[in-house]
Amino acid sequence: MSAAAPLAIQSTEVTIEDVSVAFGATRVLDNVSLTIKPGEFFAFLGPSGCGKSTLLRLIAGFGESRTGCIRIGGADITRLPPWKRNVGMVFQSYALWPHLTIWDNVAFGLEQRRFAREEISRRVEAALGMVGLRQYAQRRPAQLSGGQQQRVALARTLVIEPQVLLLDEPLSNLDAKLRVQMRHEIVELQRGLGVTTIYVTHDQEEANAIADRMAILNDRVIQQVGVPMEMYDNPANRFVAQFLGIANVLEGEITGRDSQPVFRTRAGEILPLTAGIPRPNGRHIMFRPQSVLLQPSGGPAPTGRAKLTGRVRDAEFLGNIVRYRVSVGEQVLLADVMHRRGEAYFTIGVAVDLFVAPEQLVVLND
Amino acid sequence: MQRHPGQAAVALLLGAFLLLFLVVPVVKVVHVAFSDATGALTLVNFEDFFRTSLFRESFANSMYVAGMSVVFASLIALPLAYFTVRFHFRGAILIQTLGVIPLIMPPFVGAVAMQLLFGRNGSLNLLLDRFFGFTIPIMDGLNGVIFVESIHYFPFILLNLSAALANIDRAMEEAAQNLGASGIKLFRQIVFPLALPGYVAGAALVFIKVFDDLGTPLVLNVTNMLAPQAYLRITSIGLTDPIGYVIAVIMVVFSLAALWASALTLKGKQYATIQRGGGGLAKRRLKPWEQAVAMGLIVLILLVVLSPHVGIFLLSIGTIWSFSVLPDGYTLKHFAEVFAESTGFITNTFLYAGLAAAADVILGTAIAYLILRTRLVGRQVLDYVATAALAIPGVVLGIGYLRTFYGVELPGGQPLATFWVMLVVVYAIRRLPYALRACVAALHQVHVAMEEAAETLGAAKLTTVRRIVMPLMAGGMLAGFVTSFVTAAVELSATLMLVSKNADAPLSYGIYVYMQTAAGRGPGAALGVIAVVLVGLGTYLSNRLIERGRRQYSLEGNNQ
Repeated sequence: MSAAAPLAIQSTEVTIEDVSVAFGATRVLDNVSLTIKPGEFFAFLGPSGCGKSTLLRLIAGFGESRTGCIRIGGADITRLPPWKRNVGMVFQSYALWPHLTIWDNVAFGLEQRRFAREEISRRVEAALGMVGLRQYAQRRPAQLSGGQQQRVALARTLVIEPQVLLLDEPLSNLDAKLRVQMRHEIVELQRGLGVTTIYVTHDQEEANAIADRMAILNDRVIQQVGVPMEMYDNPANRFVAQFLGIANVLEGEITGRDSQPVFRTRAGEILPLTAGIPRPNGRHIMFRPQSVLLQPSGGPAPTGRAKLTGRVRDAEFLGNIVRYRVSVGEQVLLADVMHRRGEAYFTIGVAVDLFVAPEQLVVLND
Repeated sequence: MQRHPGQAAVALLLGAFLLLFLVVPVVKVVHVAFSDATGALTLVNFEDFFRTSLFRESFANSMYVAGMSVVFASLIALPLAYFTVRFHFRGAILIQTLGVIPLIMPPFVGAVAMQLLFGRNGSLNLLLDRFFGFTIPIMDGLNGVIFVESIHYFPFILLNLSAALANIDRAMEEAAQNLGASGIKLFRQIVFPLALPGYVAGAALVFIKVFDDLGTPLVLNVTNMLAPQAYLRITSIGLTDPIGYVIAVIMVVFSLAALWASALTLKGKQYATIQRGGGGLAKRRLKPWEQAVAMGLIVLILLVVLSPHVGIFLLSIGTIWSFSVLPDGYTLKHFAEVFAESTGFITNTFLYAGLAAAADVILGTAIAYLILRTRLVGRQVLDYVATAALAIPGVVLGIGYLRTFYGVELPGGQPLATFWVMLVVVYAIRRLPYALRACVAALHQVHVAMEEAAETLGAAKLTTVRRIVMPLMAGGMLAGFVTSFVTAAVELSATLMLVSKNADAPLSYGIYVYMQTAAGRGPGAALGVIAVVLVGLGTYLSNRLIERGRRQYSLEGNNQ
């Protein structure tokens, strides 16, 4: 793929205001509002059935919202049919038309816009060149591999110079290796063109890797919007914490003075927190397995860290780390220990101490 | 959000067409059957019907013939289906080909030839009498009808049953074997129950077809059955005679019952039996002696099944064929006669069946699009009504058209009912269910994303339909066209009711009229051969089209 952008695409802002969708009695989205900045690579992330595809399709003009509106570059497009929106969409199945050649597939949108023949030629050529498929122009979709079909779908969508590029789980039909490669190609393409892009996926690794910002959806609403790493470190609630990675969650309450807050678990363990916690009424505390320092019971305690005691239940060797499941009271917590060559496991059943630094503890609302 | 006045208008037009040419005529027939001379509602017509011994006998005969035809068709189809799915051997291809051959010839065409081959003085009995001194009354009375119908309609059972058997995942069978079942027990407890819906669907179709068939009994001179009685009452006594309508109602009721029974067996049994990686039951190779026995059996069945075709061909090129094993001599004069005098039948058939098939594809595509791609209120009703035509026998529709449209006069004084366009309409209505299914299947294969992609790229609905949907459906639509065309080309039941003069008559009617006289049998057979070739070519073409469509557009990436 060449880095030079042959297409002229304006970076445009997308605003979703108070949108609700229901299929019959089933509510799919409730009062969703969101702003996607011009030129941003934005991801909708969530488990299947969370409404992320519905929201994407709404932007493309498929399905209807009972309330609110959608604006692109300030213009209200809520009532426009799909064909008047100039929003490009790449479908999960690619939806290449099998009866048309690659060339005709890519030319289709330009023909609808009644461009002159030479102009269509020039642009199709440029778009196919952009995705490195110029030599396949006269083939039919069935004669291309999955990755090539994906590129044709991208070229077909981008050639119309859409205001927004929508990608609906575009990598789900590819094998693992190709998926990573296409991911890089899509990001490169997007950066080169500066087109505002919305990407739907259920794979948090994919979203983390490519998105400038993302929205996590669950139960018909947006749970949190933000930059991937910030959301991973500061999840707004238990769902986000657990969806973005593995989380140890303890129930309890915050006690102590504001300057020296502590978290008292239901089992009575005391975990010191940093001052100025964002959610002083939170009833849960979360930390990641890699934040845990695991030591044999009775060893020297590092200063300033919360301490929990437990027994190793089992261990999973994952290559770079060993993941221990440790019984702490009624609960089972996970602790990751970096694996280095020659290091041995903790044996099953052995008593261990878990240490967590206060700045690694995140208070959650629910 | 978006209103679609266009879609609603199309739906209303379709609804009006179905109402006028399907619902109204049938309701009219039912209404007349339940009214007395003054128009008041009554059951007296039914009492009359069942009080008359001829009608009781006709009713019993129709039931008997339809039932026995199902039995004999099953006896032919079951072993053939079993052989094809169970064993690897060359005969399998033979069976598959043989399975379609009878379908390309309407039974009434073959009936005359069957008389000559198997009748009291037919080839077989002449030979038997000469060498062994006895004869078999295969073609006498109802036996003849059962024989002809079983031979012609067994493919419905064979095709449905084979498809059902072929769809059973090998893992189903292996799981049963793994748990200790084998042989007959495995077949009885696992394989047959899984294939049962396919068998019942085929059997119900055979029952309906036989129950409705008017041409075969008439050609074989059997009149004490329901369809011939209805025809005779209406044509000889007149449109006002209520018995014809009573028979029509009875025929509709039994057709519906057969369809309902088949739907009931299928209900909740949509076994999605093909899973990833598994395809069909395990096949084994036949031992040489088994192969010999199987081939012998198949050849025997093949001979019987092909006999109408052979007979009609011999008849079409024979000089005189009477009281002899084979015709006395051979000639092409029947074909010459047909092409000299009766090309009207052929051109009429092309015109009527062509128009009807074109109408079916247009109606079918429109209904399929409304059902699958819109949320129009009541769109399912169109589907149900159009499909209900399956249960309406041609005789009934014919009577209904006569009753409904006889009073409507065209400029010039001809009643609308006997205007040739009515034949086109009646063919279109009768074949619409098949064309509709073909169109629905074709549209099903077009992923909705294909259309949405076009819309996001700026194509409005109509452009999308024209540029994307229609080309992708083309193979299926064409197959639907050919199916409608070939089956309409040999329709006889409604044709006999509605044709008023020879100049307007199509091929099927021509064959029937020719076959009425001894001198006409030769030219009639020649027309029959033409019809068979026409239908055979069409069927072959449609299968090719479906296959090609499947290969061309199977886009791996799209269906994962």
